Amino acid sequence: MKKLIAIAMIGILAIAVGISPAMAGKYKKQKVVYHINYDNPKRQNGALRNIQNHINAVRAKNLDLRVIIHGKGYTMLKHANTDANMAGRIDNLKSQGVKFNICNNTLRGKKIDYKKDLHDVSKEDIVPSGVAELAYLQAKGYAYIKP
Amino acid sequence: MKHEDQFSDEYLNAFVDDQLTPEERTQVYEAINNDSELNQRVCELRKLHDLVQMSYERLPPMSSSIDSAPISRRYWAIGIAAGLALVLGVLLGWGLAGDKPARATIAQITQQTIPGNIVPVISSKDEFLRGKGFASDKKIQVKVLIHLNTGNPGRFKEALNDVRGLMHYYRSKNINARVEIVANGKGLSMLRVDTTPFAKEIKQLQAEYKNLRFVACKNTIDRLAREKGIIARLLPGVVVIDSGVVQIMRRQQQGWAYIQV
Repeated sequence: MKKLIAIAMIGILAIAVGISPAMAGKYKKQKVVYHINYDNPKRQNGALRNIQNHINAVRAKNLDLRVIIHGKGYTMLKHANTDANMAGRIDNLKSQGVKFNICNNTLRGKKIDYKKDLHDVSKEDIVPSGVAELAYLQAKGYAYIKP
Repeated sequence: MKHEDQFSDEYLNAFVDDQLTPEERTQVYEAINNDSELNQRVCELRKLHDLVQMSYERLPPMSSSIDSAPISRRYWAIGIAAGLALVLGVLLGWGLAGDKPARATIAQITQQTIPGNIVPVISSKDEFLRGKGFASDKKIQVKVLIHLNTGNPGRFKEALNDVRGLMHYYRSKNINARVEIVANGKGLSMLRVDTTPFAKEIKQLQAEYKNLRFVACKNTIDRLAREKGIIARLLPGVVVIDSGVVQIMRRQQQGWAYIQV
């Protein structure tokens, strides 16, 4: 009987040995681009939550995560000026290495003053064309997610 | 074509469970392409399959089943289970540690089963859509597919602005690009003569950018005819492809970027 228990133990050990390195390394480095071009704050909040969950699963150190904002998506950064909750989410994600980029075509087309109208945007955060950036990043191996 | 007799539920289940040979799978894929009823059945089965899988994922580990076995067999069961577990553990670990994302497998399967060439492209004279030629064209630096599935004019207008900005950007940077706007589902209404409010804008874009194509999904066109008796008249220059969804998959396999607007 002891033998059998021993065999069982070995079996369990084998599973542990076999699986654990795989689980620990389940997610290696990931490059991901999230796409936000809608003005519904609920959906925008949902997207920010998705991103946090993504980080939780993969760990910030394994993740190169970009958020491309264009079109009506810019309202997310406008809402954040008055919505402390949304601003908090965005700041929190930034502190974990998430980069938010906004489309210059959108800024120009909608006559937005990014310094005044938007939450925490600096010059380096602006890309010439949001859609072109999405295409560029995918060509660079980023996975595309539209939450 | 009637496929009711050709494909039983068991057979389609095997298809959904990925248990057919590549040849058999190709056959089913081809049949699905030609038969929306069959397509519907497969969709239903797949949904069911996913639901079943999802509920299995929530089940606790299956060790408890051993408790019901007679005592004398239990140790044997443990022994065998241990042996199996050993093999399973090692295999699982090996498989998982192999760092092969599931996507690769899917891509392999679909590449086998849906080669770009079985597709009845209606306007085969259109060089742009003869995938083979320009998928390998090294001179093209960027390939972008923009997916339109919205019938909301406001959103479509935004999308057209995006496209205009994109095309302008590529031209100003001297980047050789190909851009394809694929409309399916409700998005098709934006390319139909009698429903689109944007005929002028689209015509303008087409005239200005020869590397831009508006593409309509034939599945949607057929469905409109079948379900609503509507014969879709498309704007000039709009190209029809077999299926919007398949086109999206094909293009991504060919290295196109995918953007949903």
